Amino acid sequence: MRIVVFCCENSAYQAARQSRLPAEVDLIRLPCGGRVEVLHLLRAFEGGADGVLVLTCQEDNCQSLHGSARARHRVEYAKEILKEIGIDPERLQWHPVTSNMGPRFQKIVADMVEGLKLASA
Amino acid sequence: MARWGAFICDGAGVDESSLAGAEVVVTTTLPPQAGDLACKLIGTWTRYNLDGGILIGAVPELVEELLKESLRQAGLDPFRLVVVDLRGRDKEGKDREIKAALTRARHLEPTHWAKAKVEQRALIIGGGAAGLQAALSLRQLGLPVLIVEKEESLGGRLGKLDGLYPYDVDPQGWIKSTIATLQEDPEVEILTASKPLALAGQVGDFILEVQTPTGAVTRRGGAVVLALGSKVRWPQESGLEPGPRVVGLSRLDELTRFRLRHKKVAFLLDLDELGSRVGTLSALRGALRIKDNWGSEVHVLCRHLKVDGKPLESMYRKARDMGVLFFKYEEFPQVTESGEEVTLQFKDPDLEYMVVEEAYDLLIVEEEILPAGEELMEAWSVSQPANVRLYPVATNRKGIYMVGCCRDEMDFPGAIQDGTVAAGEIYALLGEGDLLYEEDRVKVRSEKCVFCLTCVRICPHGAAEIDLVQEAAFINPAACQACGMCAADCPAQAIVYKGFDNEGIMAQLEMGGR
Ligand code: SF4
Ligand code: SF4
Repeated sequence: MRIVVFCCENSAYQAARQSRLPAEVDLIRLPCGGRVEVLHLLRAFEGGADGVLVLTCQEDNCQSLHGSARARHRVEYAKEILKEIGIDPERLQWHPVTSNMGPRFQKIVADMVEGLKLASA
Repeated sequence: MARWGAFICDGAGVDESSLAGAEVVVTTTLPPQAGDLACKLIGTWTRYNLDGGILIGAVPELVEELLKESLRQAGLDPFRLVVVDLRGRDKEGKDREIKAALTRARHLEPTHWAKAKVEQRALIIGGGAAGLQAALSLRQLGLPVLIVEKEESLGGRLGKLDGLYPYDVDPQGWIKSTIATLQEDPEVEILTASKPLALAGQVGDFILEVQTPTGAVTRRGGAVVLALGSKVRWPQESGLEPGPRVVGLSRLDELTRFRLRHKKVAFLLDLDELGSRVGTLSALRGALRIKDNWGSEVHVLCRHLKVDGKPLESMYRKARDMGVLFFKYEEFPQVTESGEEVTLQFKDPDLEYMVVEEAYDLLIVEEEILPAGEELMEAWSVSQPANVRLYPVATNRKGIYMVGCCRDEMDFPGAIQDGTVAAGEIYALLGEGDLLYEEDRVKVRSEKCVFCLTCVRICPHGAAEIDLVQEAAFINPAACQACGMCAADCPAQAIVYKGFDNEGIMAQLEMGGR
């Protein structure tokens, strides 16, 4: 199993540093949620990811004001594409995670792992 | 070929074999103490003339920041330090992290740093309390200032009030003496009855055009302070109409200057459900003033009195001692005007909802206080949403600050604090005399740009500009905050972001595939 987690360096990446992560997680750092492209999300699946998470700031605390909101929109858009090509859109998720939310980061990842296990069972 | 150094922290549990195949010319074990760590890191980096370093181990964010700062001070590029924080990862996770870091490092092209001279002067728009305090603090820090004020004289709204204020510092006295200090100072330029026309340039070198009574002038400055104040709005929704018997709270000083006396006066507060603290403050101040000047009977009607902190508390007590009566309402009172009187009918929850009916010869209504200067902010692409990363005085644009009532409802001490904080930030920015920035971290390849202006439209920091000669977008490197939003949205993929370019991100994505 492989889970790709795109994290904003200002928030989710700092949270990741405070969490215990399962081996199957690959963290991809972004300078801001706004940097993520639909292409990246799809390429992650193409590259063998079973699940993809985009974890960025709370929307109203984004350093770049709308970066986090843009990330969420791109995820929504990419989910539509996944649906069309027959991939369960639940394999792609966006969540806000602030820099001090290590446990939440861990929980989101664990839930994703759990969900994927159920899906493949 | 790039020369990388691998720095493995003591006790990281990583062996050198995980670095196999990388362009690593030296591997060093680092001591656990952050200070020693910095010494050894920088020493090795310079000795081996490295292009970058990969730091592997338990590296908390604070240590990372500290090391990057040390590198910067040593004249090395902090962005060339790739940190792999292995905390919380098991053996396989560690290997993945290291592999990803090596991939990242391979795609990390060097950026170029530039130093630009800044205009060591602040351009302050608005000469109210917050603007004046910013000017005063900046002068204390040694930076020259320009103050642009639309009115004939400095002082803003507070400057127009007559005395009586509940704080240790008397605002009117403070404003007078501050204006005097600033007027005497040759490094302070004051343009009154003047209006800002246009703002060009970016952080470090803004160009402000100002309409003065004697014609338009241009001034340069490294930073801009917006101290635009507030404006009052009549609470139309209440159904009340301003007239001789019904007036707005903002006109109180003007009214009480006249000898004409009203026998019975009511203050009606909290017209919008929330009400405001400044409204309570002004009403208490007004109630005391009316008691003093006219000796009238005074009632204050509110939903909740916002009495927080000592100054307001003591004002409230004083008002009660002087015989001011306070009532509460939940449902908006019925107001009837007839001839010489305004009658209010309401139910006070504290009086077991007894119906109270009182006739007054003057009703003073709390207005809504709104931030001023929206047009200007829109024209200059400045915004300041409630966002902890900007709090309190920063804006979306680097080098532009907002202070006082144009950013939030506040009283005199709040405005003073804002001015001081902004001055401190500006000093940190301009005090050294030059600005250090990366010239080419985010850059438009003009030959690929189709001039769609997407980047100009979406850049949250106003850093993407139009280059009419090249017919291409241009990213001002000093103003750019490297969020990468433009790179993600450019339809022509004309924007490269060193360190977070598509090739690097894609390589990391492909790396883990099985
Ligand atoms: S978004 Fe891209 S193509 Fe459009 S103006 Fe900016 S750089 Fe040029
Ligand atoms: S990277 Fe962000 S701040 Fe810089 S120009 Fe692009 S959108 Fe603006």
